[in-house]
Amino acid sequence: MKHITHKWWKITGTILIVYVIAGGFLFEVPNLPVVQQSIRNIYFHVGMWFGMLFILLVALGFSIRFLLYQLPEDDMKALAAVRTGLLFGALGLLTGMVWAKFTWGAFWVNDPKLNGAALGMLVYLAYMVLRGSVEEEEKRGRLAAVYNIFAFVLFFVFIMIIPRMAAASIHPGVDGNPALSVGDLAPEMRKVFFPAMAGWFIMAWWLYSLLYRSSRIDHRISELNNN
Amino acid sequence: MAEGKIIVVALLLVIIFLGITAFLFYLEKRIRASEIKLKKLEEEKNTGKGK
Repeated sequence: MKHITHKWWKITGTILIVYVIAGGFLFEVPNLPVVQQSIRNIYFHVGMWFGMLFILLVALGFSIRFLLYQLPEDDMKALAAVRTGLLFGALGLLTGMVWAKFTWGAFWVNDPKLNGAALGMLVYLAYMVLRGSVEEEEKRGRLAAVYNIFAFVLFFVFIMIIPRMAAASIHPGVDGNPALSVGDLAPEMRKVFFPAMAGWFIMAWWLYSLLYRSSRIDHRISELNNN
Repeated sequence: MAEGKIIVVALLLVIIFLGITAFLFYLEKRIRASEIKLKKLEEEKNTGKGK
């Protein structure tokens, strides 16, 4: 985990997001009906949402590892990743709501994809509540790890499977992954969209690493005090 | 006119974002310092100096 303290990837992430803000607001985009210039929000809304999915996948990996090896570090890593995922999810929802207001006329519409995203976030908020309700560290770790696996599967069902079954969603991407399929994105937008994805992934990883390292310090201090 | 305004918006967002990353780098520095301090404390405790 030595790479976590290296500066180069954090600087790379910062440069990428600065480029995305500048390019996202100033570069040319196709003037499409309804969405018009608000299409620029794709660099932020989709980037943050995919950043959240990436970090929640990391959390899932650490929860599985915790169940296999029972190392407290893996539980702390899973918690830090879920916290980061919740923040990115909230930012993704907020940017989505602003976009919805412009294109659909309301901050929230009764749509299976939107409702599924909100339910998915609530499932992860329940993970935090569950952790807070168990005092014993090992028991909390095991319960949280099992619940986290369940939460990821449920989240996937809410945002990917149910909206496809409903087939009445006005949110783009019901037939595939929005903006990632060939033909979904204008070629001139790709030069900002792909750096945006990389930039938000790096920012999510950075935040996760800070949260994990600070909780590890807390844990070690309480261990030192107890011994 | 609108072109000029969007540059101001982008510049403002870049400044806000750089402010956030500066704070993250500051946190990074504080966490690193705490990790080093804690490592020394643990080493002292393990070698019996801390008693």
